[in-house]
Amino acid sequence: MTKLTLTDLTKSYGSTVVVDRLNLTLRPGEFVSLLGPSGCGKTTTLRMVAGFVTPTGGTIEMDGQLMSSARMSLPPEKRQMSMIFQSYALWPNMTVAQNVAFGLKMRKVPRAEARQRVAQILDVVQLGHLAERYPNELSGGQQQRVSLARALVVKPDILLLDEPLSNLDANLREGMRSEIRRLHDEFGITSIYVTHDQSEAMTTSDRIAVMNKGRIEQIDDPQTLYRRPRTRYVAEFIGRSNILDGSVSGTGVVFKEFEVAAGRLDTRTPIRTDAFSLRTQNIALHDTRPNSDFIVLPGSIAHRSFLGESWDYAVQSDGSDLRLRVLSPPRQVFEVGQKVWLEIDPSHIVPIQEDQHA
Amino acid sequence: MAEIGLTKSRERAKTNSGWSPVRRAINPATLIAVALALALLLLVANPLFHLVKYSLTRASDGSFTFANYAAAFGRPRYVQALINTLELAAVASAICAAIAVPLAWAVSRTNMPGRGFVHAMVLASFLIPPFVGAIGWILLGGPNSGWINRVWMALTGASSGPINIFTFTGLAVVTALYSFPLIYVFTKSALDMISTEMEEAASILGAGPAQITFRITLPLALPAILGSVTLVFLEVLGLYGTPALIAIPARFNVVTTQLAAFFENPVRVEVAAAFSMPMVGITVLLLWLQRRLLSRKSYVTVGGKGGHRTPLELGALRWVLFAYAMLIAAITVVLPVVVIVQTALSKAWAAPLSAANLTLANFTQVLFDQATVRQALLNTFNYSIVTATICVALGFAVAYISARRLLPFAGALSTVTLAPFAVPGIVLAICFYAAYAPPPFKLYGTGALVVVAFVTRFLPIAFTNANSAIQGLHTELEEAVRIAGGGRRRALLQVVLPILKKSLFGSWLLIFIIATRELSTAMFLSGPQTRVISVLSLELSEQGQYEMLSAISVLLLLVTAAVTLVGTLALGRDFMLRRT
Repeated sequence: MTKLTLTDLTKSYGSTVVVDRLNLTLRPGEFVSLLGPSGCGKTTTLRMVAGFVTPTGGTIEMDGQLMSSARMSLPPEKRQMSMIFQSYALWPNMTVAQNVAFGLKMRKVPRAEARQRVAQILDVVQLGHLAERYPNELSGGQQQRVSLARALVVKPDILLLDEPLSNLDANLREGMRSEIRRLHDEFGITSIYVTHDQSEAMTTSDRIAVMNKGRIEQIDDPQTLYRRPRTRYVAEFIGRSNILDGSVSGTGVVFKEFEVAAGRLDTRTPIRTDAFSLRTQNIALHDTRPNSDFIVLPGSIAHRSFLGESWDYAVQSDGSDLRLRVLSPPRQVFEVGQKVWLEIDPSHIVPIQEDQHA
Repeated sequence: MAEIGLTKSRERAKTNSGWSPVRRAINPATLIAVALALALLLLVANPLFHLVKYSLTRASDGSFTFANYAAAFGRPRYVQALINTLELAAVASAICAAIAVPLAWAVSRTNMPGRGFVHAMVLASFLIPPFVGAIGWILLGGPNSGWINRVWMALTGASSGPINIFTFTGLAVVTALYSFPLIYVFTKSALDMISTEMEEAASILGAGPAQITFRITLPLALPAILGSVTLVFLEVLGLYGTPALIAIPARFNVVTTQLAAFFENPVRVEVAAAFSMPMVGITVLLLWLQRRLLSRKSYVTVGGKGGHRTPLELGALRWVLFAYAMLIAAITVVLPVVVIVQTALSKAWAAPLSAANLTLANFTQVLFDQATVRQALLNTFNYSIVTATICVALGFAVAYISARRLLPFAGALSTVTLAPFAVPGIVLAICFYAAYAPPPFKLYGTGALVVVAFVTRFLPIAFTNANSAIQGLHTELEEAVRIAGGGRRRALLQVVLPILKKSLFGSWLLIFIIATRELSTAMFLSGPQTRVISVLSLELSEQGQYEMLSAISVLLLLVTAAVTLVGTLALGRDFMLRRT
């Protein structure tokens, strides 16, 4: 069952292709993030779903009904969607209650019912006591909650969120992203969330679509995305990775310093690449040679920085120019230049494709 | 240890205060403060004080009296003038809003064709001095000989034309035609500022284009609209030129023409002062109301993602709007300018169009033969240049000092600088007449008096412009100079002024242009040797010398256009209309 289907969705301005034959399907009630750096086409995709931008190719369908194509685009006001804007876009000439009631008025909901629903949703976002205030009399976090209430009160078919937290300061942002997830669990509205912040995407989403140059590089649930990045781009964008060069030879893979049987790597399909990702925290450091079945290499600390929650070491391998980044617990202290042993579990080495369209 | 530190700092404090009181008193900052305070005292405080004082003084013996108020408001005719003025201001402001708001909206938010042209036409009507426009409309809409009426009669064979400009309606419309650009400018910049996300938020919640326009866009621009309508209302209250040209022949009075009547023989300055009090009162009241009403809802809208603003698709309606805009352009700019140019090139303006009627004699008359006219032209440009220069310098000084809080009472300085804004030009003229015509100053008939009054009148504009430019300048730029070892003076000369020179130049050009057309302030203050073009124009109009008058108008328009062109080339389009 699908709620929303984007098929070969394309948007180009002249010769610049902003969104490039993008395909995406959302199940009813699913929360999907579009994650990527600025200019990757995520906002344009969202605005096409909203109906503010008409695609130059492909289609958008909701509940099997055509919303957008190169030839037609149902105007935003006919789509029964809601949107949270980066600037919140609260109307400064209306009170909180009037802002929230606006969508109900447009849908011709009877007054009494509208008043009740507004009061209800304001309680949900804990702003009932501020109903008669004007937006400029509220803090940033409160404004954000008003904009959530305004979007949710109309019970939209789809909720679109366009970098909703980027104007908030760091502490507030953490609180708001769990608030957004809580509201999603409560109302179950199919949602698309655009962000460039991976932790926002991780905490809120059922699935994350990592976008690059107008296309989706990989779409998966947060854990899979983290554990099995499919491309170099995703491996480097999500978390921190060492990218290792290796080549398949017979039943094993040959890296600069070591060789691993293909069966011990984290893969179920035949390996058809020479790039592999290894997460920085999946390498262990020891000051004496560990007794282990895993890969063990000698090296020395080339550089280090203390990040508070962890140490970030750069370790130079003794035998070659291989240099690995390693994330260690804060109590595991090594000096620069100190001899160490690296221990690598081969099942954390993930084959990745080169970028789909570098 | 602590004790030692304490004595040390005490010692240092002592060396600082060891300066002799005299030396401290004459440090540069104090000197500037005293000079500024003195200038503002002479320019603003003293004249306003004299207005009140005169209104309460018996002319014969200088004793205290309320008799002037009794004289000013004792006759129904005088009270009627006050009512007429309020009516005129209300009707003209309403017409202005009806013209300006649709045009501003169409240019800012829609896909109406020819938006750039319409914008240019509004700018052009802003550049036409109101009394020149009024003269154009006398030539177009005079009851029998006006061009529109003559064409109408020729086409239909009717015995009379459809338009009579010498009526209350005529006055209100002509007044509005040259006042509406102010509302347009404020409304358009408010509309330009509204973040697209404000409208998109309504759109996604189910609002169609019309609902967005009337429920979101226009309400968001409403403070700017109301604010600028108030300004136009106040401007019309104090307008003298257009009423003098139209209301007097139409045989009714407004406050300003009535005030002028008090200045005719015998001159009754005391009664005029008393009669002008309601105008000052209304102005202050309206400005105060405006502030109060707009205080709660803040209309500063958070900027959304810029760039992708899509103009509203109007369909067939865009041609209706376009036709409306063209009609406005025709009646504010095209028709009046054409008829004025035609008249300036005619031997007799009412004669039919023919080659025999063509002449350049009006221009040679104005430029070379008539000494009074030439003198007035020279005076006008002279006074305008001096006024603009003083205004910009003084306005900048006050703005800089109060923005950087360089002196105690810096806030009070800016308040005093803005005060003339609450005084209509014609009342200001009475103030200056009362303050500086009698001994000890005896400035009446000197150019200095005109210039000083002009400076006071335009100082608020210069101050506001300089202030907004300075507000946009980050203090860190100057602090960087100081930390690098440069003094305040160096920071000012090498950083602040070079950065602000463009906006100060723009402010200079604007003040120059409006000074060349200023009428009401000059009226009671210019003597035979110090007449300016605007005052002379009224006299020529009374004498029916429309050909020469048109030639002068053409010259004034040409100079205005040239100055605007210079400004546009140097500072970019709309340099005068920018409100930051």
